[in-house]
Amino acid sequence: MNASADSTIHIVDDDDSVRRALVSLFEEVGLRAVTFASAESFLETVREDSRGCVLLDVRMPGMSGLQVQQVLRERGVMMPTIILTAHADVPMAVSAMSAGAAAFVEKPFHPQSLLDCIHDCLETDAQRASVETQRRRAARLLQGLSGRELEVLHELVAGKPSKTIATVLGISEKTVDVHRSNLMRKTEVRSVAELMRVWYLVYPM
Amino acid sequence: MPATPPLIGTVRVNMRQVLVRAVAVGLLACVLVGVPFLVYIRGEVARAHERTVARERHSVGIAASIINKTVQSIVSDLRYLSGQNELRELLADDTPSLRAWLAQEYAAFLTQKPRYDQVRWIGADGWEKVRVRREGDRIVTFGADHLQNVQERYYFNETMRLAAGQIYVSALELNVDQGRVEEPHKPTLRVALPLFHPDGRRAGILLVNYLATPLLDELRTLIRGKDSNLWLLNSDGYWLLSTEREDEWAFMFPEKQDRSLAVRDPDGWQRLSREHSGHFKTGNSLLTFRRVYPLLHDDSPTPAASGRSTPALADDYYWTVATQLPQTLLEAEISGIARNLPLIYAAFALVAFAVATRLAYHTFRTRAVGTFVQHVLDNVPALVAYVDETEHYRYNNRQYEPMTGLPANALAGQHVSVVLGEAGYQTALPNIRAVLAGKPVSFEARISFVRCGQRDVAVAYVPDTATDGKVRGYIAVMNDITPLKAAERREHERQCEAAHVTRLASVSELASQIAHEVNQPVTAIITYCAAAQHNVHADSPANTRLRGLITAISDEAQRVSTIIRQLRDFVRKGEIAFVPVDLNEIVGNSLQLVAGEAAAHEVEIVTDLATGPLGVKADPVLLSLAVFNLVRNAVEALAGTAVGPRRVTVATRRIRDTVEARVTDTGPGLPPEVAARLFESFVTTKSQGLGMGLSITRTICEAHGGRVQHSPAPGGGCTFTLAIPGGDS
Repeated sequence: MNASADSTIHIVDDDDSVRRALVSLFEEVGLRAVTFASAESFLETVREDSRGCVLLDVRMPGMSGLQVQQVLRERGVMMPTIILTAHADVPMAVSAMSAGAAAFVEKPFHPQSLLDCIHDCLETDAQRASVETQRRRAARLLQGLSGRELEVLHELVAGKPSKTIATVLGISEKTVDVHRSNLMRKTEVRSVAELMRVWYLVYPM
Repeated sequence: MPATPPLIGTVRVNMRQVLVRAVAVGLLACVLVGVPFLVYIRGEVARAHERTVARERHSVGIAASIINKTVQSIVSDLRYLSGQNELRELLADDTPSLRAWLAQEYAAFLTQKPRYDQVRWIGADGWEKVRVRREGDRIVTFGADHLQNVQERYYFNETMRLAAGQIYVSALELNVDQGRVEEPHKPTLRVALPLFHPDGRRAGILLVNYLATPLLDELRTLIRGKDSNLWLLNSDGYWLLSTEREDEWAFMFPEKQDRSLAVRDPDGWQRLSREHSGHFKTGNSLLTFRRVYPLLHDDSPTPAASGRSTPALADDYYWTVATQLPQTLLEAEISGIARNLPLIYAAFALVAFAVATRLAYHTFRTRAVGTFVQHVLDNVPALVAYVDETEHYRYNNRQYEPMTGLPANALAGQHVSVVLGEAGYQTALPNIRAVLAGKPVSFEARISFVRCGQRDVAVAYVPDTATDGKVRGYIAVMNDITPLKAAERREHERQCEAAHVTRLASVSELASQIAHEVNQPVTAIITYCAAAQHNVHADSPANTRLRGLITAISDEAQRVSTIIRQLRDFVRKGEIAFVPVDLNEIVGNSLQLVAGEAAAHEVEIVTDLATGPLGVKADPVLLSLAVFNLVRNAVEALAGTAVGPRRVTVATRRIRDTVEARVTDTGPGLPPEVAARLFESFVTTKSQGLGMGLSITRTICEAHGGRVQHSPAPGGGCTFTLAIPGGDS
């Protein structure tokens, strides 16, 4: 289990007994869970960098699970979402999945299946979190570059040799090389390949 | 006359037809009455004529009788004179003294008999021997020197030829004195008889002059005050007596010779001279006549030996008495009878024509009204008929044709069942009885018609009540409302469908609700079970057993969830998983589910199940739910009751191909207003509850082609019967 310690299962369900049962189960298997009785209280608490996954009941007073999912996506909360429903139908499942739900589980669920599903989600979230960390670092590194360095970097990522870059930018080939060594130093990379990885972390293709 | 109803007032009568008919009928009536009328008048006229003739004949008869009597008395007097002793003696011995003696006798005679003018004895030589004559008031006896010879006179000669006993009567004529008609006129009749000496020699004649004026005057009195004229005619057709005085005695005057009936009326005269009596119309008058033979009536005793009278002379000597009644007078008499009759007849004719006109108008008007009403009735878009009190048609309009194939009025005389059919007749019968009792009725029926098959009809019966309250029949108005009814049925079906959809929708909605609500605790249970499993490791038999129990709990929870899902799926899609099940088994399962609740409310559940399995194809989960609902309702109904037995009896049985579950409680029963709406959603007697149970149960039953029914139980509670067809026996 490679879920990091700060991974938390966010349980959003208006049914008290369901919340408590789920918490009991998760504690038994060593998972951390927080519960929310309503969509609104959950949305108040959740942050973009919250880690773990969301168990979201569809039918609740106030906002429905699907609306919550929509809001989460808009706010950039990237935790995988498992939609729970007491009565599923196909259109609901389709809209949930198309809104980016990781899974669609009908109550009453088989506990082991749910647990498997949650583990998958936590895995996914952990990976996503790691990528995100790297992307943030890369972005921070790129922010440290000067304007000319960024221009050169842009041309480099496009795969152009120094000579061409010099012609495009209207500067000498030597100056291009100076900028290149500076930006590689600033971005803490040793090769152009590494440099390109950093670039694409920030500006995915 | 009652006021004409406005509708009938629009009817126009052809007045030309009316007049033609009125004239024809009027004429006929006039002829029919006129013929006997005419016969009667003719009879009256004939009778009047007869009366007139009889009266005239009577007058004539009286006149004839007077004449006869007069002549007879003259003859009688003459015979008396001829038988006088003085005359006898004189005839035996003619002496002047005897003559004087006789003259005295005759003078006395004339004095006594003023009708006689002169008495003479004329000798056989023609010389007058004794002559006594009336001159004014005096009686004059002529002396010997004044006596004349009358040998040449016709009366002397005529009489001298007679035998003894025979009488001579001269024609009645005016006296002529010395060759001239004596004035004033002296109508004179000379009557004579021959005289004989005792030795049989002729002794001359005895002659009296009779003055006829009194006779004629007496005859004139006969017709005094009468309209007719009295005539006395001699045998030559000259008037001896007439109303026209100028015509009298015309034969005496040469210048008046043509004043005779023979000249004036030859035909009449012909008849008069041919017949002895009679009457006839001549010219402008009625002539009634009779011949008078005065000498034939001489029945006085005679001493003469040689026969009594002179037949030849008596037969030839006659007068004719006649009355002449002018035609105008005759007609006046007749018209007196018939005067008023034409007036009466004219009045009758007037009345006849008036009545005929009225009658014709009425007839044509009635006909026109009839035609009009028939036209209206035929075109009313409804079947209209008149039925009499024996339930037979009297009239039917044209609208019957498309329904029955029979043209207008072809049903007359037919019984109503012919059109309505036996079944339709039975339907209509109570209404027919009601309308024949005088009560208007209307009803709807479905009737099988010959031409167009089953039709829905709206029928109205209106009684035809006479003024005395008796119902003579009724007017039947029938409307084909088949399209209307079909639309109504469609609408009803649509509403039922809509109600069903609504009910299903509400059930579906509720099922979702239930699914959601039930799934939450079920989810919690299952989740708890999973959590528990993690805490119980299978390291000891006890733990292994515990894990088994936990798994069982979890499975049952899953089953609940499955039931819920099936129910929800069913109400959402209307699909059922039909599998062969045993109703007894289903009931058993359901009773298990409700056993806890029953125990809690201290309700005894008794089963009376059919022996052997009750196989039927059904969805076991849904059927369990249906039975469960019924049993739980029964238990809950008893929960509130304070006293009495708390028992729910569940019985099953098979009736032919239907299996049945019957749930009876000993509760208080249902109030009627609830019973009426029992199977609707959200109707409940429970303080807490959605009222969905029976609705769902019914929906399930109907989905299985079955039904659920409520009836009051004998003990006061309720019985719910659930029946599902299609069982295998």
